[in-house]
Amino acid sequence: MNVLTSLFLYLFFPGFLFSFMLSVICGYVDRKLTARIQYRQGPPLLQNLYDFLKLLAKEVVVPQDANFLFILAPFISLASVILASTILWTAIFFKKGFVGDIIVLVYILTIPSIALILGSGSSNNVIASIGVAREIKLLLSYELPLITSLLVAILKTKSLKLVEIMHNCNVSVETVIASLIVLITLQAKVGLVPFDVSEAETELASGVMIEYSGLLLGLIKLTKQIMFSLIPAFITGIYYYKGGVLAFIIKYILFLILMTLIRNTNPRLKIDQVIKFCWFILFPLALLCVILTLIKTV
Amino acid sequence: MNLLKKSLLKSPWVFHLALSPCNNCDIEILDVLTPRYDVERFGVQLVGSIRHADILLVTGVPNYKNWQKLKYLYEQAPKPCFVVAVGTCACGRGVFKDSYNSPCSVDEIVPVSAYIPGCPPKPEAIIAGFAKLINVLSKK
Repeated sequence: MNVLTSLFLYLFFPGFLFSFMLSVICGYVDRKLTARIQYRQGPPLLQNLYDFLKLLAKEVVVPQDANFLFILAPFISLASVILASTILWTAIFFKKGFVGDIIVLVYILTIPSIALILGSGSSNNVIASIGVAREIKLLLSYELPLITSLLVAILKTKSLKLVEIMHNCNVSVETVIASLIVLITLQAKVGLVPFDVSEAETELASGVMIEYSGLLLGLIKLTKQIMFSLIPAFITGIYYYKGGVLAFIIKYILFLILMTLIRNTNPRLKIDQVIKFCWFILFPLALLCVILTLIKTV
Repeated sequence: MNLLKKSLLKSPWVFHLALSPCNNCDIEILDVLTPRYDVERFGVQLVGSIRHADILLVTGVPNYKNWQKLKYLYEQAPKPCFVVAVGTCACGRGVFKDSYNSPCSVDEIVPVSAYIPGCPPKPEAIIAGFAKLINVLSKK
C-alpha cells in the first residue's frame, strides 16, 4: 500500500468523507428516534450538517490564559478518530489490515478523550476543570472492562489481526456478554447519557466543552459523532461479523437503535457510581467471559 | 457563504438568560423547548454555555446587580449572536420603568434583534417571534 492509496483511504472513502456522511446520518437517526420516544417531531435529516457548518462560520473565542493545546486538541482528536475509522472500515470493506491493528485501534480511540482533557484543562476555566477531573476518572473506569472484553475475541480467535478476528469469531455466550460490555463502555467513551458526567449540561454547563466555540466546538462535536457512528461497526465487526452484507447492515442499525434506546431510558449516573459500575460489575463479568473462553479453547 | 448563512438560520442554539424575572416568561420558554411545542424541528437547541450560543434569550428587567453581567455575557458570546427580548419587562421595562432598582432597559445595554411582548408571551408567540427573526435575517 503506497502513500497515495493510504491518503485516499484516510481522506475519502473509509476515512474522513465517508465517516463524516455516515455520522450525519447516524446523528439524524439518533436525534429523530430520541424525538419520537419523547413524542415529538424531531429535527430534519441534515440537521447535524447544518450544526457543523454553522459552527464553522462562528467566531472562535480563545480564553486569555489558554495555551496552544486549547486550539490543537480538537484537531488531534478529529485526526485520531478518522484514523480509527479508516483502520476499522478498511478491515470491513477491503479485508486488509496488519498484525496488531486491534491494539492500535484501542490506543487510537483513547486519544480523543486525552486530547479533550488536555485542551479543556488548558482553558483555565473552573467548571471545565471539574469536567476534566471527571473525564479522567471516566477514562480510567471504562478502559479496564473494554480491554478485558476485547480479550475474549482475541483469545477465541488466537489472533491480533482485525480481519482474522472478524472471520473467525463465532457467536457464543461469552462473546454476547463481552459485546454488550463493549457497547456499554464505548457509550461511556462517547459520553452518551448514562455516562455523560463530564459534559453534564444541567450541572456543569457542558463541562469539558464549556470554553470551546466556533470551529473548535464543531470539531469536538464531529469527533463525538464519528465515534458514535463507529461503535456499532466496531461491535458488529468484532463479534458478529459472520453473514452477508445485508446482515451486517441490519446488525449495524440494530446496535445503533440499541445505543439510542440506552441513552434515552437511563438517567445520568454520578461519577462514583460510574466507577463502581465499571470496576465492580462490568470488569468481573468481563473477566468471567475471559475465563470461560480460556476453558473452552484450551 | 450562502450555505453558511443558511445553516446558521437552520440551527440557532439558544442560551437562556434570566435577569431576575418573575419566572413566568421562563416557564413559557421551557414550554417552547419541551416536547409539546418541540422547537428542535427548526434546529433550536438549548445550550449550557454562552460560547455555544447563537441567540441570547433575555427575560426580565436588568437591575443594578445584573445589568453589567448582561453586557459581559454578550461580549463573551461568539459573533454572530442575536439578542431576543422575551416578555414585556425585557422589551420595555413594563411597570418597573420608574423603579428605584432599574437603571436601564435591555436594549440600552446590548443590541436587541427581536422583541416578543406579552406578560408572559404565549409559546405560539415566542415561536412566531423566532420565525420573524429568521425571516428578517435570511433577507439580509
